[in-house]
Amino acid sequence: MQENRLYKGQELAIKYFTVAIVLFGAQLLFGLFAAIQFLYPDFLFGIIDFSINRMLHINALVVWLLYAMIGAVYWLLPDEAGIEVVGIKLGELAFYILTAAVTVVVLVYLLVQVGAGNEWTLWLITEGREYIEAPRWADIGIVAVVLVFLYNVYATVMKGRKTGILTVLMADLIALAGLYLAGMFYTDNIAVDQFWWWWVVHLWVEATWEVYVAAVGGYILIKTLNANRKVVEMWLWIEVAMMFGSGILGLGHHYFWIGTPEYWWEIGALFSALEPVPLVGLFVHVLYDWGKERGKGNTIKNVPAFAWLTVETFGNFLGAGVWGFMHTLPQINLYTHGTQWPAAHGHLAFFGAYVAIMISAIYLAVQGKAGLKELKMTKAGWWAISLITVGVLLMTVALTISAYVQTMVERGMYGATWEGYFVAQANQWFVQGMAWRLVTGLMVIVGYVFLVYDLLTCTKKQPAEVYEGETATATA
Amino acid sequence: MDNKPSVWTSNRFWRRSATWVTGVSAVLLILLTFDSMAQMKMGTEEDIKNKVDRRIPSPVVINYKIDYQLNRTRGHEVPIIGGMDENGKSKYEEKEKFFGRDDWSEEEARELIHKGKLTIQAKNCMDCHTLLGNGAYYAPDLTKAWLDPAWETLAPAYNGKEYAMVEFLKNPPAMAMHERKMPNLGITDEEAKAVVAYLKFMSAIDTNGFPRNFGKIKGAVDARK
Amino acid sequence: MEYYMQDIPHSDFLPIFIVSAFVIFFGMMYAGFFTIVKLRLVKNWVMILAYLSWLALVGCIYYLGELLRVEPYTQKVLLGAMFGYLIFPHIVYFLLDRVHNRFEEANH
Repeated sequence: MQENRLYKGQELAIKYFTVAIVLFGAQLLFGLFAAIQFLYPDFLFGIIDFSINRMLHINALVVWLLYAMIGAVYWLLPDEAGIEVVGIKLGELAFYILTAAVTVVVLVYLLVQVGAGNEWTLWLITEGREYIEAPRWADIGIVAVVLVFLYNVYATVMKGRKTGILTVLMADLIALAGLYLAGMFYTDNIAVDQFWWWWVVHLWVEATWEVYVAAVGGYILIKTLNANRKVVEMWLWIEVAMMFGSGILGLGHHYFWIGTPEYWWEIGALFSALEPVPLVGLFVHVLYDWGKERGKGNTIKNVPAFAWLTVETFGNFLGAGVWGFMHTLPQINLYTHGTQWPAAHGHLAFFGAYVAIMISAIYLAVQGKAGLKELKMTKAGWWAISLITVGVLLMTVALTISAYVQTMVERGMYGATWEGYFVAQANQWFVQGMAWRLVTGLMVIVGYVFLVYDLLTCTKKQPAEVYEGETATATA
Repeated sequence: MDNKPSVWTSNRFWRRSATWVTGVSAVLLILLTFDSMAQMKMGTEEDIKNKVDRRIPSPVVINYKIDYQLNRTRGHEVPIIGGMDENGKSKYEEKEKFFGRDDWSEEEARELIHKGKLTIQAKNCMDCHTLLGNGAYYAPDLTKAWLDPAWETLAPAYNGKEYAMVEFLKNPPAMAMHERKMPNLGITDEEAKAVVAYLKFMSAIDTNGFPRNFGKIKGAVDARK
Repeated sequence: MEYYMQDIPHSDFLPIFIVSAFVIFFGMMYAGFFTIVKLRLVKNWVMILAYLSWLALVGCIYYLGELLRVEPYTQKVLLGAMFGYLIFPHIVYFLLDRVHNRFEEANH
């Protein structure tokens, strides 16, 4: 009976979210294996080698975030547009095709692992390009599924209400999908290969995904805090300007050392200095809203969603801002490029910018599914958010210590040779950093268990007044 | 508030600004990409004959001795192909036998590195190693692996480092040089040869001085004073 | 184009990382103090802390430039960053205030 309150699109969103959370678990599991291998290289050697664990770790990350992103759009789309998603049957079919394809790809990664050095391997097993390893048949499948998704979004918005949030999302999603095509071809020229590879990776995570997050974040603010829609939507455009303005040419900071012309040094340095712009903007904005809302006595409609949104603000600032700026100028990047620095930065930035907000969106769906007017934080929910956030933060610190040792010993003293690499890897401080990374990783996994438990049970464990308020409104 | 809202609070103004900022950035990026693509085009045998430096040289560089030396005008190390002249530029003269030959034709060399690149992707090298500094951080960077002093010590026993590298790649655990072993990825003799060719070719790519001070302590190439 | 990537002694790495982290930290402290004073959540004298944070930021950027031995182009970028930080929170606050006033006060 409660289910009837949901649009079909929102039911589909819940399916996407479910798979997302399962893949999040897979990401943590393979990350754990990889972390163990850094300390005990014989662990699973010859069974699931580091390269396979690492590939599954990062692919699961990207795929679960995409699932959650698609899910969040299906969730807010009918709500914003005010009508059922157009072509929902096709959307559902696409979901099953995508999920079947992901399953096959993962099984092939695990069971076949590598192939012979020919085109067949690229078509059927792996493309061997970090983050976008998916074989080409799967690439084409992904494109087909995304086209269905885009059709759903565009057709629904055309027919329903065209809100500002939806307008930004429509423009952003088409760019996001189009960029994937830049990573689908093969070339013998590794410099050109990496040039276009960064188009996908950078223009996703440092431009289009950021804008996506801003749009969905705006929706969450309206839902949890009753934020003024006009303010949210206007501010969204300012954020788009800041993010694309600093993010698109920010691509330059990946083009320092891959066979690219030297002028990318200048462009990279300039846009590295500009990158904190959207972060400062966001920071002032959050403080402003908090200051204005204080004392107004407005209740937060979904405490866990709002708490995760707060984590996202600070995680983004620390991960992208502080850890990004520490190694982004070309003068220092010469020494940090290809060390544990990007690993430290990547863990916190991905978590802060994307994981936190997707969990926030999932809590919104949990609330909507149960049909509750309010959702409070449960004990398990607090454990989940604390363990995961503190875990990732400490993991980043641990990786930073290792990164510093690696930079100093391998790059500063030895100069990036095989010997320099292993001398740095054997350094006590480096090894201890890796050990702490494993410990903090386990912390995150415990937090994940709490999170799953909480997502499944939190609507049944609310304080009495939440349900009382519910019956009151129902009878009224 | 007056009836006519200022431009700062106009939704339309900001929507247009966002569109313009995005559009201008995208156009600039596309223009820069065209220029970069032209500069990053793979060189040809003709370039080598005419002693033209290319960022990504022709694969026939596998016929030449490759080095990595500090260039005073550019202020960082650059690949030196076939010997260095007094201005610190490549001479494209000094040859070096690669698998017993120094007359690999353009076509043969391209075929070799084609196979090499495919193998590098098929075996997921980038999920342990870094190439041009990108990839995973579980194993050494391969950008200048061809020039690594570690191979020089092994070379004599195998009649040249390319043969040592092939033996290693075919069954890495048998030649394990560290506790963190490379697994056996079923690389065939032909694939191993192609991968080694790719590594030699990659060491000749102009990476703007990355990695810095390569082999500083053990004096691999240019032990900076 | 004269762009000489200088050698950085390995003993300088630690100060470089710490100083660059503090650039962002002080930047945020400046923006934070500035905003809460403007919102009248704290006494006006706290604005002194805001501008002291900005001065600390300037010091950090300057020291970072020294440590990285930057050439003239990056010097200009870093100078731009110093002044960009100074005015940017003003701009953001100004816009927020205008937007909120226009859309929210209208309801009263």
